[in-house]
Amino acid sequence: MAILAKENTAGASSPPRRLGLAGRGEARAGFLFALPWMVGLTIFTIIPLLLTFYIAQTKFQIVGAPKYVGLANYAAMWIDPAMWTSARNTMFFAVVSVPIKLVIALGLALLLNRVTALSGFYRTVFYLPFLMPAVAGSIVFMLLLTPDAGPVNIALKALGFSPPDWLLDPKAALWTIILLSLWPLGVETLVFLGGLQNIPKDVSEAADLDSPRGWHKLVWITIPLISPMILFNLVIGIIYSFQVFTQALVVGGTTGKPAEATLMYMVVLYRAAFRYFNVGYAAAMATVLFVGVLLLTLLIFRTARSWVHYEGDSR
Amino acid sequence: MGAVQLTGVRKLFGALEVIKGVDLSIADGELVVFVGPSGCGKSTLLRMIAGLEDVDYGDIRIAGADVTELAPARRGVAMVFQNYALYPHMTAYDNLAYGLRRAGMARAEVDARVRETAALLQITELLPRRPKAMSGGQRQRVAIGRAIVRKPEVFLFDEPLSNLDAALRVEMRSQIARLHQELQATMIFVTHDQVEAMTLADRIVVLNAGRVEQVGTPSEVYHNPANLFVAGFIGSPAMNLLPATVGQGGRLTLAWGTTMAGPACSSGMAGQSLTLGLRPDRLSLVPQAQAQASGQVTLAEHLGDESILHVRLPIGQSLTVKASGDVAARLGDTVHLGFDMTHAALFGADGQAMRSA
Repeated sequence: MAILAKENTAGASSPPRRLGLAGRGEARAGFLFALPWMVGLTIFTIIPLLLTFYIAQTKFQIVGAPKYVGLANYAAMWIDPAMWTSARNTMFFAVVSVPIKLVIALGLALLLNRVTALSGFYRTVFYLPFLMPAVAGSIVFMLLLTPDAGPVNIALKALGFSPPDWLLDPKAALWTIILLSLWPLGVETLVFLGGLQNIPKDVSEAADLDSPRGWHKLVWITIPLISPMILFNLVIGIIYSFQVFTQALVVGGTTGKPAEATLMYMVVLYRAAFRYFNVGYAAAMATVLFVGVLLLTLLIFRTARSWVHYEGDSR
Repeated sequence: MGAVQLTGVRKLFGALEVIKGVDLSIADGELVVFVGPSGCGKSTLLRMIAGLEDVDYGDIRIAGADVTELAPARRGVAMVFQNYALYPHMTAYDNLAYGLRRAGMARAEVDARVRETAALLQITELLPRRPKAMSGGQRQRVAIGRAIVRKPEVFLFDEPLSNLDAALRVEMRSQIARLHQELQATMIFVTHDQVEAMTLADRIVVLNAGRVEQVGTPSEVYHNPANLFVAGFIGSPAMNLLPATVGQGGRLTLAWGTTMAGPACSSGMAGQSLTLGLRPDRLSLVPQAQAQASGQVTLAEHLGDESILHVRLPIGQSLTVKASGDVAARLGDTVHLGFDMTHAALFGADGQAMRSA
C-alpha cells in the first residue's frame, strides 16, 4: 500500500501518491507507540535541561525565588580553583579509564567468545558486578586496599613490592578511583561479545586462511567489524566518565582527599548544590559539562565516519 | 606441486563419526569434485583439507608435505566460500590485497598482482567497490580473485555457486573451468549439483555418510557406478533400478516376468537376486509387440528438446523414461517400453556393481 507521497520522483508533473488507509492507520499507531516515550523525554529530560539553562543564569538557593544574574555564575566558575582542579582530574580520569576499560572489556569478550562450555555462567559472572551498587563496590575495594591490613597490599608485600597507600597517597588516589571504575565492565564486555558473535563465521575463517597470525585478524578484521560496538562503548564510556561521582565521593569525600587528588567535577557540582545551596552555580557547571560532553560526542561521531564500519554501508 | 594426499582421514563430532576413513589421492593440476547428498561430509572433508576442521585420525599431505597440524594459512591453500566471505569493510581491491600485505609483500608487487588477477577475472571496475555495492555474481568473482591472487598450491571451492541464479551459475561454472585450464592448478570443488560435478570434474568423488563410495571420471561414475548408491545418486533423472533374478542360461528375469540377456551374467549365477540398473535414456517408447514392459504415465515433463515420462507398471514398479521432446504421451496414457542394455549395470545382493566375467 502507498504510504508516503514523495517516493514517486519519475516526473515533476506526477501527482503525489495517495496516503492509503493502511498507511494512515500505521502512522497513527506509530505515533501512539512513540507517545509515552516522547512524553517521558519531555518531562524528564527536555524540561529539566531547559530549566538548568535558565537556573544557571540566576542566583538560586533552593529557598526563595531565583534571581537573574546573567553570566555571573560562569564568571565565578572561571576563577574557581576547585572547578579547575576537578575538571583536570575528571579529564585525566576520562582519558585514562575509558581506553583501559575498552581494552580490558574487549579482551574479556575475545576470551568469552572462545569459551564454548559454561559460556552462560561466565557471562553472568562478568555481568554481576554491574548489578552491585557502586557505593557497596567502592567500600569493598576500600577494604581491600587498606594500606596495612588490606589483602591487596599484604599480597603485594609478600611478593616483594612496596605498595602505595592507595587511598591517602595523592599520586595513587586517582588511580584507585580509575581501578574502581574498571571493575564493573560487564556491559561493555557483553556489547563487544555481541559484536564478535555477529561476525560471520566464514569471514573469520577467510581471515584464518589469509594470515596465520591472530593479531592480524584482530587488527584488520575483527576490530573493524565490531567498530560500531567500539563507538557505542566509547561514547557511553566518555559520558559516564565525565559524570564519575560515587567512587570519587566514597574515596575522597566532598573535599577530594588527599589534597584534592580525587576531586571530581561532579563532586564539586554536588557540593555547590547540596552543601552550599548555590544551585545557580551548580546549574552553570552542569550546563558547561553538558555542552562539553555534547561537543566531544559530536567530534567522536564526526571522526567515526572514517573508522566505523556499519553492516549496510557500501561506501 | 599441488598434489593432495589423504590417508585414513577420520573426523568425529563428539561420538558421531562424520568422516569414516577417507583415502584419496588428487594429482597436481587435477580438478576433483566432491559430490554427495546433504550431510554426507563433503564440506567437512574440504574444511579438513583447508585446516578449518581438525583431523582426528589420519593425515593430509599437500605437495608432499604433511599439513595435518598446520594452520590454514600455512597450508598453501585458498578457499572460496559459499557465502563469498568477503571482508565487508574493505573494497574489492583491499580484499584481494589483504593476504598479500599480511605476508609482507612489497606494495608495488601487491598492486601488480591484484590488477593482474582483476584483469583475468574482468573485475577491474569493481576494485574500488565494497561488497555491499556488488551483485552476488560480482562478489563471487571477487572471492575467486582473492583465492587466485595468492597463487596457492590448491584451490578449494565450497559450493561457491549455490547462491547464484541459474544463468549466473552456468556463467560462473564456465569461468571456473576456464580458470582451471589457464592456471593448471589443483582444485577441489564441493557441490551437491550433479551438473556442476559432471561438467567441471576431471574426477568425481562420490561421498555418502562419511565414506567414499566411488572415485572416477564423470563418464566412469555415470556409466559404471560402483554400487547402488552411486547409481541412484548420479544422473538426473536417476537410474532405474529393477529387481531381477538370474535364470537358466544366465538370462535375467525381471519382476514382472520379462526375460532378457543380462550383462555380466553366467549360468552359474542361476537363482541369484540382482538389481538391473538402466539409465532413463536407455528406455524408449516402442510398439507393443517389441515391448519389455508396459505401464501408465503418471507424470509427463515436457522440457522442449526432451520429455521425462514417469511410468508405473501394473506390479507397482516405477520407471523413468527420457524420450524425445516431441513425444505425445500424456498423463494416464498407456505406453510400451523397450530396454537398450548398452551400459546397463548389474548390482549384486550386497549392492555392489558386478563386472563382466
